Amino acid sequence: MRYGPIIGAGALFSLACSWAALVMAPQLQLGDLSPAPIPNTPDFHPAARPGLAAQGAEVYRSLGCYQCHTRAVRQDQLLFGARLNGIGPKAINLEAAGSGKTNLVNLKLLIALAKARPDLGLAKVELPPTLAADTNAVAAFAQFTTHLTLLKHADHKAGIVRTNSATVNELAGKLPAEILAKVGPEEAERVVKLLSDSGAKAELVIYNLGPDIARGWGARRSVARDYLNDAPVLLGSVRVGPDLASIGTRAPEKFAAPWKFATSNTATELEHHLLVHLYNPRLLAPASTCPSASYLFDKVKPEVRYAGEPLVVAKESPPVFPKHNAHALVAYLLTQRNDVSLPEAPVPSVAKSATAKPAAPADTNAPSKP
Amino acid sequence: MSKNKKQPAPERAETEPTIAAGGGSAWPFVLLGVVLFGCFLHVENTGGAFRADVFQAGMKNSPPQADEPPEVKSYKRGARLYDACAGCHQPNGLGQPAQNIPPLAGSEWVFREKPDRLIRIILNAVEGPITVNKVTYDNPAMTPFRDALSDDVIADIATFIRGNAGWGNSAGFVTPDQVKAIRDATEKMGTQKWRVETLQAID
Amino acid sequence: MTAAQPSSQNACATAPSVAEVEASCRLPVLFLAFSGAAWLLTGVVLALLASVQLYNPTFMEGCAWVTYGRLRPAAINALTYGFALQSAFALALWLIARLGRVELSAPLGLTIAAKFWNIAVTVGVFGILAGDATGFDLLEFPLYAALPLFASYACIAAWALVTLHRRTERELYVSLWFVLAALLWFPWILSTAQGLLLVWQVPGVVQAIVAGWFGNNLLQIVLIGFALAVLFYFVPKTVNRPLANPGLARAGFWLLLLIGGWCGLAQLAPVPAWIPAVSGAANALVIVPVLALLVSLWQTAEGKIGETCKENATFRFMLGASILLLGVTLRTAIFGGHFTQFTFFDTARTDIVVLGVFGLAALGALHHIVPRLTTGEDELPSEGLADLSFWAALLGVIAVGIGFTFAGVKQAAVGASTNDKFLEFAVTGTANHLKLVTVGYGALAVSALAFLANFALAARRCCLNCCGGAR
Repeated sequence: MRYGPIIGAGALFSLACSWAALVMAPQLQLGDLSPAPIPNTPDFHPAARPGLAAQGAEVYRSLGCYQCHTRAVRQDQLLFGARLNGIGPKAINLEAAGSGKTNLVNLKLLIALAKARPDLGLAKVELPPTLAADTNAVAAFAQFTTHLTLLKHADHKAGIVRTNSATVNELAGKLPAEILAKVGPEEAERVVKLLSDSGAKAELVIYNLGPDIARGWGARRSVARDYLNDAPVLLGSVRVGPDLASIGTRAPEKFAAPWKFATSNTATELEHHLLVHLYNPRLLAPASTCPSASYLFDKVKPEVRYAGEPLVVAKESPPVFPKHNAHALVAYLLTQRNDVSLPEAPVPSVAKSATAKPAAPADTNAPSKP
Repeated sequence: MSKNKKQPAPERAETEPTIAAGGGSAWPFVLLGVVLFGCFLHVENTGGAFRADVFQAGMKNSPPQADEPPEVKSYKRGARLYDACAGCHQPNGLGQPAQNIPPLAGSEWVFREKPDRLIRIILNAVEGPITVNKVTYDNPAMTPFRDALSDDVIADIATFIRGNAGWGNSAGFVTPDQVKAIRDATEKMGTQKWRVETLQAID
Repeated sequence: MTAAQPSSQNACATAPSVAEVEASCRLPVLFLAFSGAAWLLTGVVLALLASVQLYNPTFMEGCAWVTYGRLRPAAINALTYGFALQSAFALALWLIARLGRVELSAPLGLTIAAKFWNIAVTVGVFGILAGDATGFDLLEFPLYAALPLFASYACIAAWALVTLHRRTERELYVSLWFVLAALLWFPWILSTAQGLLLVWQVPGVVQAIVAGWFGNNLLQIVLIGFALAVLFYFVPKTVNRPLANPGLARAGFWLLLLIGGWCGLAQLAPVPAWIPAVSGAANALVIVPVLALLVSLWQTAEGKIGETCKENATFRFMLGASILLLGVTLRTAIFGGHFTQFTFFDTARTDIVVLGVFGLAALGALHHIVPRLTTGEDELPSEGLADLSFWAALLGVIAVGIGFTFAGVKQAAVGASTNDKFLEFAVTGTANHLKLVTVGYGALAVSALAFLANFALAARRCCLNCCGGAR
């Protein structure tokens, strides 16, 4: 080639291609993200950091903590399941009259269950004589048996153990029941709809699977929205030390060097633990290679008005006095949380439907007349 | 290793590298095509359809949300159904004191532990001077909704009114069964309205 | 056999001679080369100290200036901006002057600009140690050091381009393609990255994407581009054969520019799934241009590799650099996916590219250029020191690469399972591999010292020649 400008133009074009794909396109996609509301609260996630924690972010950057710690939780799989919470209205008693037992079963639900899990085995069930006379029940049951599938063990595959009963009533007796576990989203949604349409109460269940999550380092993967309030973002690229994305809400047993709460004042204890870790990590985790940040602490009580509480690091040692930066850094670490359900990264909800109680039951003994 | 480096080789050091004539092979482009095909497959399988809300490799859509608990769904329905009451009690729940319409926000009649009074009021309305938050209102114009609204709708509205954090209420939710129980118990009232004194006897 | 085309068929009678060209290069190129080598030594020593802290945390603890989180970025940025880019400028200027058969424009101005570059790098390194690092890999210099850096680069690049424009040999040789592309690429990515990260900040995780894009472009296009420029000059020259298959070189050049900028983001975590997918695909795709370029070089040297290795110190460096280039490209493509995410595996890529691929190529080139500009010979005074420099550098880079790679694999195994105790396996278990890294950095420091000693010997001889016996 003789002409330099050709090379210059070609270089500009190539750079523009990668810039458009990897700088402009992500900015277009992610530039408008805003904090998402946390369900059932007036709060938003990510929350704006209070002043001390914002200063702590600066200390985190200045000391270079991001060279050894990441703040991003990974997830290998996002799977779904269907959980049956209630059998719904219009349940029929399938036990024989006079047997003293009551087993309410929703036949429409059973048909829906049969369609949902065609891979399970069949058990024959006889309609008790009281129902055999009911033309509606007979028709529904005929449809049920011709669909020929029945929930025998509900979820052998998901490892849920049930007593080995061949009756169709077993399911109605043991709620909530996991109908499907760890399947793809479309299948789980289809089954939930199937069950809901039969009048039962069913919900979609979320499984966040991955070593990070199993280790207790987070409830879900980190997504772009988690970092909206971070500048610089300080994601970290090597895990020389454990991940810090959820250190503010992590249970002590899940730390790399596990410990236990000694009192019920858990927030103070966690703060104390982190301060001692900053002072000398080897006091809490002898194998740790984290450098000690003892320069963030004063040995002698400083002559200022708000010297703060002294920190007792070990039984025999004199207390040390954390400086402002130490408190700021710990405040920053305590704001790290990853347990909020977001539209792009849901978190499994506890099976609240079974445990939530409505307002105290209405008292029908109250006067019925004005 | 023998070297004769102390004699600079002037002809070698002074000349620049030369280029052989010809040359040009097609194999890089063939290889490029093959690897590019593999790249397309890889991006197809793990690229999340280039969506901004797909972070999990292998998924093609943003994840469906876990179902909300039924009480949350009831609350959200109630927020829409509250329009039936907003005409008088206002969308902000503060009522219209000038027209003697009591507020629902922060009202001790609303956030009692049991929803009995509230359900009764919705079913059959209430008349007579009623004291809400130390202010007395006397408006006979509230209509009973026993016939106009079903159990589910009344339960949703009651859940919304009782649980509206924006109004400062955070009482428990109401189920249609509770409404039905009270409706059946007060069957004989028809469209007769409650008197305030009678209601005050109810927990 | 293919006929060699004479390269100077367009040189007119007024073209300067090689001696004149080299005389014009002397001041800026030697200054840049010496500064680069000094920063190599400094950077490697800083990296060595940092690597000790990885398994011995009480080493130099208690002082915020030398905590690992500041020492490591200071080392890497000193190596990248102090050693790699300065040596790259030295090589670029020399190649432009020699291949274009033109005297360098404004040698004094270039030297002053290089001086300011050094000042900016020094201020930047101290700024990082003082705690002002920006938080973005390979872009850690605070803004007060980054802006003078950019300004002095602008001067250097402007004069380099002016020189290129004034060239008497109009046909651009392969090396000059890479030099020109890299000289233009660097300010474009640097200004984009600093603008989007430090001035008009993009929100949230987009910062990590931009920083990753910048780092990859700096390594894959700029530094590897300069390394390839050097390879394409010195390999045909030292084996004394014409460059075989230039069409392959052309294909490789354009494909590297098109594809290389897309790599490097395969291990970003909290980003939409398509970004690591596309970038991982590019990691695999970039094998094609790298192979094309290396095959072209291999076809040039085929048959004479062993013989030239024995004779020529520069060729040994080039051979080492080429093998490491192939190695790092294959390594990233095959293993740089989800399994090794968040481990030392990717840390090694920076070290291998800066110190191995570019470092060996630059050291080899300087082993030829420095003696030519000082004593007029084409080998440095001490053969022993040149050998030491080569073997220490090669073994050092290999040790660092192997140490980080296997430490990374161990961390990855822990990260992929829930049973392994993190502290026991990922921290204590990698200590031995990290000790190998320290040894590697030590060897690299020895190599830098050997080169500097050789440089000093050559400079002394040059001074003696100039001043004669006048004392």
